[in-house]
Amino acid sequence: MAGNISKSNDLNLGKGIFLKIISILGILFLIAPLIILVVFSFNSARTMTQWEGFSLRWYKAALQDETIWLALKNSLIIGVISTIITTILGTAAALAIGKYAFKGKKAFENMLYIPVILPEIIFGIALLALYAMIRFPLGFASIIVAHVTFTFSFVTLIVLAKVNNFDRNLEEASLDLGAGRWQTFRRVILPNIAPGIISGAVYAFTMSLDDFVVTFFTAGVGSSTLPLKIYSLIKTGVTPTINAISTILILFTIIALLSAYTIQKNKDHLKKGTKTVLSVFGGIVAVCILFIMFYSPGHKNELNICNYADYLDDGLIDDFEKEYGIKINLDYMNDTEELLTRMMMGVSGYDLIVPTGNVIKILIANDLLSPIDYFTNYDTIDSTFTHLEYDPTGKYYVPYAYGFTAIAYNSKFVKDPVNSWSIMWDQEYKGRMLMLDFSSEAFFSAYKKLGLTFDTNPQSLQQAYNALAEQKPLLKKYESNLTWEYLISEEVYLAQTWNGSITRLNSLYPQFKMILPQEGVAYFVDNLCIPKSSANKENALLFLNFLYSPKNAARNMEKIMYTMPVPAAWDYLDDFLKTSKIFCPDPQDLPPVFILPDFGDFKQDIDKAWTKLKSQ
Amino acid sequence: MLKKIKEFYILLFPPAFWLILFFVVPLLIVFVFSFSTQKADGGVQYILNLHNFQEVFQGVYLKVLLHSFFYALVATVITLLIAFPISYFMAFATTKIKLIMMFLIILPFWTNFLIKIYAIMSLLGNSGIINAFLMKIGLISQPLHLMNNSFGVMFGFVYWNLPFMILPIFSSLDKIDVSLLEASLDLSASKAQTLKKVILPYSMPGLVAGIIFAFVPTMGSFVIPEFLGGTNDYMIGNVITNQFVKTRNWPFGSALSMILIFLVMVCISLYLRFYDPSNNKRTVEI
Repeated sequence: MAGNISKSNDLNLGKGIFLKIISILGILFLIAPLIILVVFSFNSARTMTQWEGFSLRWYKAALQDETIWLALKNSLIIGVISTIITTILGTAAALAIGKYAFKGKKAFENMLYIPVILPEIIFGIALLALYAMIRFPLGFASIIVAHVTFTFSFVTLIVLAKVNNFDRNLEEASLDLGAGRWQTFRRVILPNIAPGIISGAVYAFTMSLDDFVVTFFTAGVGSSTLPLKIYSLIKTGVTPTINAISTILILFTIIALLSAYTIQKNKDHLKKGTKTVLSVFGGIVAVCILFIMFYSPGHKNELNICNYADYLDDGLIDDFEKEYGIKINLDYMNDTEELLTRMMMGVSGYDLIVPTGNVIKILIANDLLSPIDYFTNYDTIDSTFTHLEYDPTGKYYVPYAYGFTAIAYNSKFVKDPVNSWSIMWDQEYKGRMLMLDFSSEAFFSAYKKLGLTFDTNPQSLQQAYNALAEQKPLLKKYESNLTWEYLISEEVYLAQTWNGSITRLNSLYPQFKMILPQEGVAYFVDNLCIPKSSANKENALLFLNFLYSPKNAARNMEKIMYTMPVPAAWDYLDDFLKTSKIFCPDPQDLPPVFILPDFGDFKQDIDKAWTKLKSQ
Repeated sequence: MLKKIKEFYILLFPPAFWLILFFVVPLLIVFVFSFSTQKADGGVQYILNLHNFQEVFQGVYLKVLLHSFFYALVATVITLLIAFPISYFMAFATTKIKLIMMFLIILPFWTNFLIKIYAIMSLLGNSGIINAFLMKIGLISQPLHLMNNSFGVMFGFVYWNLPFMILPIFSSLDKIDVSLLEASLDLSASKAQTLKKVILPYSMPGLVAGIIFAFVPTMGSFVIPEFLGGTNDYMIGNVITNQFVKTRNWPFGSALSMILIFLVMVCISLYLRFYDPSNNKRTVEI
């Protein structure tokens, strides 16, 4: 016991029972969520509510997912390169400040310190603005620059602390004794400030690996990092795979912490054996990092698709990869506006994208799409879809799937479903409803509920705005990605969503049904387009031809549960889809359908009203 | 002498150049954007005007700003109230307990931010652990609403900020010289007096750092309200993100960003003026 008595035991400070309790509870609060994640990563069930037995299936799923490995590889490449740059720059800055007095030093110091106290989001948007101005392509370079910029100040501050502690007489002595400046730097200064440089570098590396916000704004195609990948996993649907990844990362953190502690503790009297073990261990870690950095699955022949999550059959992708030897990389987007932003930012690297009509119009106007050459199975496509209003030539798009927005409800809780949008304004379901997080969809339902025409009349917009403002307190959330999770967990009973999504819900859990509002529903067509910047146009065509063979189209429809405009595919469909009235309602049941028009400038007014509504 | 000047320039120019190019210039661009207007296709039109700022100060967005400020303030205070006793306990604990606690605090500190949010979602959700447990033991029949409301957001902020607050406060407290405390108690100061006159002033640098590290990121946060918030938890970070990523109204987003920067700077300089940490030589503790 003797050695453990700390400085204040005899003073009786910090010994109160209240302190003890709050400390234990506080630590429990910090650690409990992580323990739960780890425990449930071994649960064979999908949900957290029930323990169905020990299983490693989620680890298998995580380790087999190539996109996770790619994301990890990207994170490491970006981390290593940005750490090297930021450490050199930060050390130089610290030496300049620590050693010299110069004009403008105060300004330089301020420039260095301000980044420490700015919210990260500011770095993200400011660099995005710069990249957009100078047309700097988004990708590895843009992320590395961003990471260097926001870790720079921290490295400087850490190194500066060491520089300030450094005895300048040593430097003078070295110079007096005839050593050159470089020699002095290497032999005298560097060894003295090395601990600061190392901890600065470690700090920069962990910040880079961990960063989400700045990367979110500056990442392009194919440069998605691990945090971005985790974000999209959480955003597009919660599966225990995330628990498995988290557990691996937490384990990694524990190992790193323990080894840092061991090194720290034995720093001064390391036995030779321990030293060897440590350096072997360090070497192994370095080799692993290098291996992952330079590991490439070795596919030269690729096809990069940017699509919504769960909007293309995985089995079909596997078959295509096997048949043609082309590797398909999937990148996910949350909505068509986000895709447009990426395309307008000059993001390149996609070979197939899935925009809506209004976005296609803008993309064509900005010369960002490539005409699609004829492919054999093009003839299977229903010709009413091939020359739509947004591209009458039909050259730039292939119609992919269509459907409409309706309301999903849980028949266990909603006993008297009314076929009207007004049910989404029903006080009875307060806090039990979701609306889509899309301005046009939300406003459309408000217009229809009020019996208004969705046009550019500002008075109608105001009325619709008021209706939505009245609805807002009744909603759980505006949500477009996790609708499923909220419905299945019975957190909400009603949700505005697309009919394909309801069909899939219904196929798994029959209690989920659809309300078809009689005032009218918004109709959408998603399309496949090839960006002008695509480097694999032939592969894209091969894939289109493969996808539009009636048999494959049917397979795809059975998975995504949205209708593809391929009439011949109906012969191959399974009975569930053929008879599902959600997938394809009887014509007499179908309310008036509206295609959301392109409002041009008025779209800005809608967006402004939407921003205002959500901020209210 | 010449060599010395050469060395100075080699040291100063690359970092200065980098900061100007990738920090000052981007902020200037955002500044210029904030006085421009959005083009129909989402581009930026350089007609300098004050529209964006007028819009911000017309009600709703001011509310979001205040709301974000309020959230950041409350989250910081709650975090502080939890963090201070823990740091205090830790500073006076035995080495062994100190080490174990340090480990348990650094572990979540180093865990990826998004994983932490995911962990909170699995804790608070309707089918999350807390509700599942309470329902199983029959305490409640209906799941409690713990997420997608202010409670969920606040829980997220406090969880996220706690290690950032504990670590600097602890490192300040840990440096207090025992003889000072002994002296204080020997000279018949009460414990409360010792806390007020000796311990608190000494913990100031850590407190200042911890409060800034909690307040600033919370103020600009958009991920936590997105995942843990409901319809009323929209924060300034969400509005800015939406302007840049979705509706492509960069000028308006820029104006909001300028105001956010201004607000953060004002808060911090007021705060630093109030509690001047410079009487203790250490600045921000990292």
